[in-house]
Amino acid sequence: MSTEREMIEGCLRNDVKAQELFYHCYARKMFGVCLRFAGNPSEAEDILQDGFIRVYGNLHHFRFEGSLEGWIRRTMINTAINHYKKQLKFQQEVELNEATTLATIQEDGLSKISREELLHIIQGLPTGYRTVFNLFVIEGYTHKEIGIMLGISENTSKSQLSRARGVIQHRFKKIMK
Amino acid sequence: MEESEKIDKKFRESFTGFDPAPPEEVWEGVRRVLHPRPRYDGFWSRIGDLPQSSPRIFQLSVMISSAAVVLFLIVLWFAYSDHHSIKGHAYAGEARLCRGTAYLFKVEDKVKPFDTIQHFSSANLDEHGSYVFLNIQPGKYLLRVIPEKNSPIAKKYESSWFDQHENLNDAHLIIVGSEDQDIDIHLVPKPEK
Repeated sequence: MSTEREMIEGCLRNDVKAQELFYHCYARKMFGVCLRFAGNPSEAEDILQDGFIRVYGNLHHFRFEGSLEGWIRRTMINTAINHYKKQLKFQQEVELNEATTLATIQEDGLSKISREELLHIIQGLPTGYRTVFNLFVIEGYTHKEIGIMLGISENTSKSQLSRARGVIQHRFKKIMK
Repeated sequence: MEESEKIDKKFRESFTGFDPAPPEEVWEGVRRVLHPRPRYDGFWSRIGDLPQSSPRIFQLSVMISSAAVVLFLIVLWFAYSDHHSIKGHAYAGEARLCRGTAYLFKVEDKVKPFDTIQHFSSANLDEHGSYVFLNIQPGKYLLRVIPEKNSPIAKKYESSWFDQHENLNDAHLIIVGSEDQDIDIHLVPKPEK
């Protein structure tokens, strides 16, 4: 199975070996995505499993026009969003000039925070904060795009992000004490 | 750098290249959805994974086999639905004959003499002197009882045809139609010396 196209064609033929190879090529990266969007590792596993099932089901739609990894990633994110759809509760739009002052975080203190601690902080965020934070900060979506994905306004997306950062900073300070 | 930028940068850098290994159960769960096992999981799991088409072929073969069995039973039932039995007791005088053999012959002749008789079945007499012939198709039959050789009864009684006749052409036909036949046969006594 030398090329990506051959692997996909094998998956479309329902060849279990091609499907397993495909899974193992992308499972680790996608699990990383799922861990950030999930509230705990168990839910991350559920999202990963559902996400790959959706990937195989929609693989015939992939047109080889962009990155396969990027296509899988978007599918995984959509699966994560659907997984938490009922739990996504966003506050009504708030004034943008609501002050959310962030105290100074020392660079050297920040560098001591491990990835595991960061993951723990993200997973501890309320679902709405966590989702917007992931989409904006790590996945690189705009607030307009996030609004469309989550069915919220841009302003709501911005306020969710602001609040997420406030919670994160508060937890940073606890860790650095 | 603004605080928010520091936080964002920290997260972006930390999660670049973040690729933890998921548990193997996740792939197993995906595989089970993509390739569901048939309900006879316990049996097939011992012989490995089936090719994609095999579950359907197996189901088809089970259906065909079941239909064949049902059809066979129906044919069997119809084949034997008109089969009956001939049973009864053998007597030597007033006593029942407990040591001997009953013979059943099928007769094709419409009138005597009986030229086309064919041995159909034999049955040993039990301790009550009774015999039984099963699965008898409708038709004409002759019944003969022979006492056990060298037995006390054999010294006093002849081998006999139903209904207590020594000669074949005197024998009475047993007509099997739509019912079982209950026939008692009496041995012909030997002349006293």
